[in-house]
This record gives sequence, C-alpha cells and structure tokens, in this order.
Amino acid sequence: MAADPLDALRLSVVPVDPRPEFTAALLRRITSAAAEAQTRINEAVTGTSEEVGNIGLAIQRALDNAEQMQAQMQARAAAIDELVASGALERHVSSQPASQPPQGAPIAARVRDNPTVRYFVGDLDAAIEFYCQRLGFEEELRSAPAFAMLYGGGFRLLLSVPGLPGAGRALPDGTVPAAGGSNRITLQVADVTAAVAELRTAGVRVRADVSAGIAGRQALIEDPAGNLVELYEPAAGYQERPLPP
Amino acid sequence: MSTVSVRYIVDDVDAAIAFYRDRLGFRELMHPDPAFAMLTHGDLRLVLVAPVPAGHPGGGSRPMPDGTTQRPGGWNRFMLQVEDLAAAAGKLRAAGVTFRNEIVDGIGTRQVMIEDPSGNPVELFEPLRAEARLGT
Repeated sequence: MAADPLDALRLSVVPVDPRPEFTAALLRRITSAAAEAQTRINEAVTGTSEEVGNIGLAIQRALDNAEQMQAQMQARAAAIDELVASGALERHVSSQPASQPPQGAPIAARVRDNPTVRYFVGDLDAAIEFYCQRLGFEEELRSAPAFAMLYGGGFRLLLSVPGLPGAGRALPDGTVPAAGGSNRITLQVADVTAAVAELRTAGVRVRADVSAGIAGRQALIEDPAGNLVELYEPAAGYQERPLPP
Repeated sequence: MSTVSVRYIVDDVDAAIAFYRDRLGFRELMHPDPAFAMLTHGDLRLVLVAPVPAGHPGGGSRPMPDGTTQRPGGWNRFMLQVEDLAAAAGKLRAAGVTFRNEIVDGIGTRQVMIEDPSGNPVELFEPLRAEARLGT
C-alpha cells in the first residue's frame, strides 16, 4: 500500500520531495483530510463525537511540522503557496483522474482552444489584478515575476514582463519588448456606456470614450501598463458574416 | 465562426490582407472600405484598419481624443500555433517575410516573431509541452 502523503507532515524532519506527483498527492490528501476533519467537528458540535481533542492535537502537530517544513523549503513553499492562492494547482489536482498520476510539468494548466494574445506589462501583479478584477478574466497560471496566463473574453491572454526571461527577454540586437502600441484585443460588452462608466469609477484610464462606428460603438481603456483594450458593443441586429466558401 | 477579435493597425490594408491570407492562411471575410478588412483564422477574427481622420465613419482607427494617431507596431501580438516551427519559418523566410528575431526555445514553446508588411508582430509557436498546446 502506498504511503500516506500526510506522513510527510507528521515526520519531525520533513523530506523534500520535488516531484510534482508528490505535491499533487499531498494537496489531494490535505483536501480530503480537511473535509473529514470538518465533518468530525460538526459531529462534535452536535455531541456525537469526542474526538475533537485528538483532532486538535493532530492539527497542532501538523502546524509544528509545517513550521519546520517552511524553514526547510522556503523557496519551494512560496512557489506552491502562490499556485494554491491562484487556484491553479487546486484546479489541476481536482481535474486529475484518480487512476492517472499527473504527467510531467509541476505547473499544469488546463488546455483550452482559445485564441492566444501576448501583452507586455511592467507590473505583473497589477496587470493580473486589472484583468481579473475589472474585466472578469480568470488567472490560470502565475509564474512570478515574469509570466502569467489568464483566460477571459474568449482569449488566452499571456502577460510577459519586459526584460525578464521568457518572451520579455531582449532581442539579439538589444531591443527590449515594451508595453503599449495601438494594436489590441476587443472585448464585446452588452452596454459599452455602462461598462466605461463603471470602469472609470473604479479608476481605470479611459483612452478614448465611447464613440459610434459603423457596426457598433466602442471605447478604449488602458491596462495599468498602458496597453489598450477595446470594448465593443455591436449595433442592434449586427450579425457575423458567414465564412466564404 | 470567430469567437474573439483582435484589431491591428496597418498602413496598407491590401498588403496586409495579402500577407495574412497568403502567408498565414487567414480567410478574408470582408473588405468593404479601403481602410478596413476583416479576416478570420480558426476562432480568431483579425480586424485590419488603416489610420483614418477624425471625421471618418469607421470608429476603430480614428486619432485618440488627444490627437495621437494610431500606429502599427509595438510588441503585443496574437500567436499562431504551428506543428513544425523550423519548417514554417523556412517557408516564410523564403517568401521574403521579415523576422524580428531568430527561433527561441522558451519554457512552454519554441517561438519566433515575424512582421506583417506594416511591422506588426505575429508570434508563431510550436508547443514544447502539453499545457502550451492549443486544442486537444
């Protein structure tokens, strides 16, 4: 029988196991243990169990060991915390079929078919907050400080930081990528006037207020790095043209 | 049918249509005005617009309220997945397409940046790991 991943937390010296399979198994186990503990606590509150004391001891022991773990695995723990906080790892764990161990990468993102756009941002956290809080994107993966992957508006949006490893690195001639420019993604909204008013109230920079075009009305807002995002409200009755044969 | 829309500013809409159609496999949906075209590639709708004066009926490429003209270029870009980046890059180079860099192996993808005739970047990538692959 396989060892309980929670055993790692019960040991006085916590072993460092770098395998993603281990991290995933541990998180699964913690999740189920927490659910089990909650059930027991509920029972205890209604007087059907006397195990609360034991649970308290176990939790204290886990916390003590967790302190050691933290000291031992500081860098790694921070990375895992970030993933947990972002929900990426949790989603990954819950989406793994029990019969199949996770394959390969420690940072696993869901595979979707969304058209992909890369934007450059100087401040990764500020950009993530902007797209998630203001425009309803979901954070799929954050690999601070250089990269994040979001989903929203039908897009997969990659955020890269100029000057850092990855897509932000300088070109062979020394040119460094930068935020800005006029090219942009377009997000369709039901009421562009209301959307712009709400965003403006929230402190978002509006580069060009609502104006009428041929097939609808649009406005341009800026993310914290100065990249444009176009908000577009199609004119009533507008329909996408069918593909030519 | 396209599900999302990206707008690129171009100097010459006809040259841009030819580039995206002949080099990257886009299909032309409409080109009703010299300053406007709509192309499609899978789920991506690419709207190509040339800068127009303030009074122009087309709303997407007028100057900003502060007078700034919209321009091609910059670094933000859409990405197209290819199965064999070296082969794709070889074909594009032979066709005279401008490359902004050489093929780079990143963490999730092998990638390269090409430019359309107006200097807008397009990133071509070949997934190196499952999470970077579009579609299943």
